[in-house]
Amino acid sequence: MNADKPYELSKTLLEILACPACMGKIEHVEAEEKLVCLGECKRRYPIRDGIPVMLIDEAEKPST
Amino acid sequence: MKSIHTSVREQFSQHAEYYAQSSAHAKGDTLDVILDFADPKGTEKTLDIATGTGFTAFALAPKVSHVVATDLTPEMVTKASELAQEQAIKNITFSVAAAESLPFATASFDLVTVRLAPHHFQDVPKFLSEVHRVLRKDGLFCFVDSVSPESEKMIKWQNYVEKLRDDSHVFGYPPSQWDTMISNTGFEIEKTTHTRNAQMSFLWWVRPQKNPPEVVREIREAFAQLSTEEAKKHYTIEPDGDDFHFSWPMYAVKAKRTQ
Repeated sequence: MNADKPYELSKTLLEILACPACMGKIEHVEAEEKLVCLGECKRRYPIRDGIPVMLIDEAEKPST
Repeated sequence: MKSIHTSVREQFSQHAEYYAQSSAHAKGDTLDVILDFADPKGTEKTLDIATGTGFTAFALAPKVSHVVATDLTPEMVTKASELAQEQAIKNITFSVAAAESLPFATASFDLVTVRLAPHHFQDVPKFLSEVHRVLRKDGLFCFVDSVSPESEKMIKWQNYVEKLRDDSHVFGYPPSQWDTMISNTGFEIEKTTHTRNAQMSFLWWVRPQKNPPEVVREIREAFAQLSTEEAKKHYTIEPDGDDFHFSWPMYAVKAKRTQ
């Protein structure tokens, strides 16, 4: 196990994760360590220490 | 004014180590009640909301298929994930999430648990609505939390002293209001029970290292204003020199998503 990532994002979790703002599906963009909403809002959620931070207030909104 | 989410995160981010070592949170009747009510068969996809440092999630993990454990406070989730690694628990995953905005697809879980936390939630009806959404039909919701006695006076008193001690406290509803809110959300209540937490020392509970003396005094005066009957019946108060011991009433519910 990678010491920098105590928990790799599990497939089980990714399958059920949804955007808390719009309920859109979530895609894991590994290169950026982000979870990106594929639904209407397109928010981008951070992953810290291998743990998804699925808080609406802490997500990046897409630039307009 | 600080939001409740900010207050909760400030409160709990400082105390992950304390909660990780807290015997009151690690065991006790409330954990037994949740395990009894959940009665897992081994196949349940389970969500433990406001997991703190993970005690309920860890107790459920060997008895279910998989546990997703969430908490609003990142430091708590980080501590829980470290403890899960130390204990070699493999079927658990973590996410930082608010109880009122769960980041999961509809009907993702067979079992949802929450223990000793909803009195910190800013919007309990929204939380219940989210639990209902993420549960599959016939899925189970099991919760236990501190509650107020069934009287307007005591509801006001208990929430006043809890909020004085800890500004991340939001509201402790009485059992009848929990029943109404849970039923109104589309659950069928299958089982309920009344329990208590272990007797606590007032001087420990009031956290004199965090709360200034005038606040400690105000809380002590509030306790002194209880009638002898209220003190005994609702809070099992037992004098002990300069200190006294007491407990909070707790309420547990097992409810099924029927609609």
